[in-house]
Amino acid sequence: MRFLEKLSYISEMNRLSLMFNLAAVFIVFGIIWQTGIYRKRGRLEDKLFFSAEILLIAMAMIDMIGSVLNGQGAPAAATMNHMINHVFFILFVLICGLLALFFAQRAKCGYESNRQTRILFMLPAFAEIAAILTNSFTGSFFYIDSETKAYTIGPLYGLLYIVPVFYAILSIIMSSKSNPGSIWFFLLIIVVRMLLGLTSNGVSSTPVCLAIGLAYIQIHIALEPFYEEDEI
Amino acid sequence: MITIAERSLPTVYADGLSLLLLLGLFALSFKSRTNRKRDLETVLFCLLGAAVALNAVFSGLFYILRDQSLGWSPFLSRLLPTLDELSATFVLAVWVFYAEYRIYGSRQRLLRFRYILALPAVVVAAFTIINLFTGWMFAVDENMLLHYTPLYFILEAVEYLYGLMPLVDELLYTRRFGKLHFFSVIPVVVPVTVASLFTIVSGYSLSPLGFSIGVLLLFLSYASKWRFDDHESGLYNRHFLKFILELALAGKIEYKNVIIFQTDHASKAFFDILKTELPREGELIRTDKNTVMLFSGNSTPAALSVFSSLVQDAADEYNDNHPDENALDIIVSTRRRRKNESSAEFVKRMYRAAAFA
Repeated sequence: MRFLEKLSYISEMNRLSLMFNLAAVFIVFGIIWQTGIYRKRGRLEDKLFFSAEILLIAMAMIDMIGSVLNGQGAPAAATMNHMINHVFFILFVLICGLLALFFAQRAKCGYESNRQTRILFMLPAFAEIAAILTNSFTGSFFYIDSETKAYTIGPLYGLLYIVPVFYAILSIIMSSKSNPGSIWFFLLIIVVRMLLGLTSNGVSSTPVCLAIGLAYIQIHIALEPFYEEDEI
Repeated sequence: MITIAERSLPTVYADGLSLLLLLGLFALSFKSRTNRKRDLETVLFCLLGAAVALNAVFSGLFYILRDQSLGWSPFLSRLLPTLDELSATFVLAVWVFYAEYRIYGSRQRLLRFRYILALPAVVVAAFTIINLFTGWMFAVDENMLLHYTPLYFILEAVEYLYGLMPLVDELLYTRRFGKLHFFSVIPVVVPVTVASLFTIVSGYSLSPLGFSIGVLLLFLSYASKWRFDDHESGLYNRHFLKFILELALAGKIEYKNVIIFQTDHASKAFFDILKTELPREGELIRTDKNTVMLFSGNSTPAALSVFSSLVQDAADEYNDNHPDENALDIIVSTRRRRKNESSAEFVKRMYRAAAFA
């Protein structure tokens, strides 16, 4: 009857990662469902947020596969796990870039005005994606340990967070103009992710923290005055 | 020093995450002052959040304490799982009441059906309390592992059906009156059901996480509606009119008729009459202090005339029953979409009329 106990090769920590990722998928699906009425307006900011949501669902889903494959002895499983982690970090940096663009759009600070500036805005993300792709040959960010077949962080792992942190700081600066309260969400997400990283060895909590962050951002936006009074 | 065995870690982390989610919502509600609104919906929502938090605390406590070698007794070891079950049943009961109120928006309806709505929760709670002394539903062995009896699964099934009642309610409502704005039970029911099923098959207690995701998404829908609420009348406010205009300009919404209701002194009676007499298919928007507009999709001229006379008759009846109060005088006028006028242009015309009234 205890289904997960039959899958005994999945460690408790990987099961926890599975649950967190499943929670992230449900949270994001819920946000998409509940905010459908706003997307009908066809605003760019709604489209950007929706793109980030879709990428986050993809990120959580592939991370679920990664959690199941992590530590598996079969060479094919290890190769797939390696590939999955590349896609995971590419999606992560893209989500951060899209969210920063979303905040730029909301703050109306000019970065969003045309296609060129949008591409310029996403350049750090593209640069990091290029760096992640080179990891396949160098293994400097992360690699699959040849003995344990488990995902292992490399010497330059910390560099993977430079661009996301850059985007987070950019978002804080931009949103502090129009919406100072949203700073707390970024800090909350980062602190919770760090706490989980420190206390739970090897649990993947980035997608669930991002999903909670997206939900809080949407709630915060929903609680703002919708239009300026003089607009009406 | 508290030690948590690896077998308990997923549950403890899941409960911790639930509490964190709820704490964030608590902070948001204070920031937004939504908690200062004292209507039935807010009260039920706060109760739901508190019940889920309690459920997460009891669940987490059991999984933490069972690894602490505190000694074992049949009664005490059953106490925390019992409190966990009772709080979960309470969560479901509050959820059913909340959804019923949110779907129909009627306090009277809620009061009329309160015993039927509460019955399954009362039965399950009664069995759970009896279990504390008898172990009919579940027992905890010396290794602090829970063992369930068939009765437990029967009552769990009752709870599942109970939690799914709002889904049936929403389906019936949608079939009769069309889609609800800013609310659906599906984003709540799905994570709660999946988490509960995972709880059964995995042995981890994940229901609080499912509930807290549900509460998070409910808060999102609550907040979305909150900014379009005219808190005095319970109708939509002027912001919603602007939102409708945006949707109409994007070609996502179509209206053919608007009925305008005006009175000298907007009172509770005026708003109650509009809410009870007019169809739910239309959007009732309070565009200024004494004016309410009904945006209707495809009502015929005959139907519009019926709506007008229904409101006038209700106002007359109110005046007859309350001779001591100021007479409720409602002026009704109708605007129809012109030939060759698009829906967006029509809504824009109405928007301007409301803006410069």
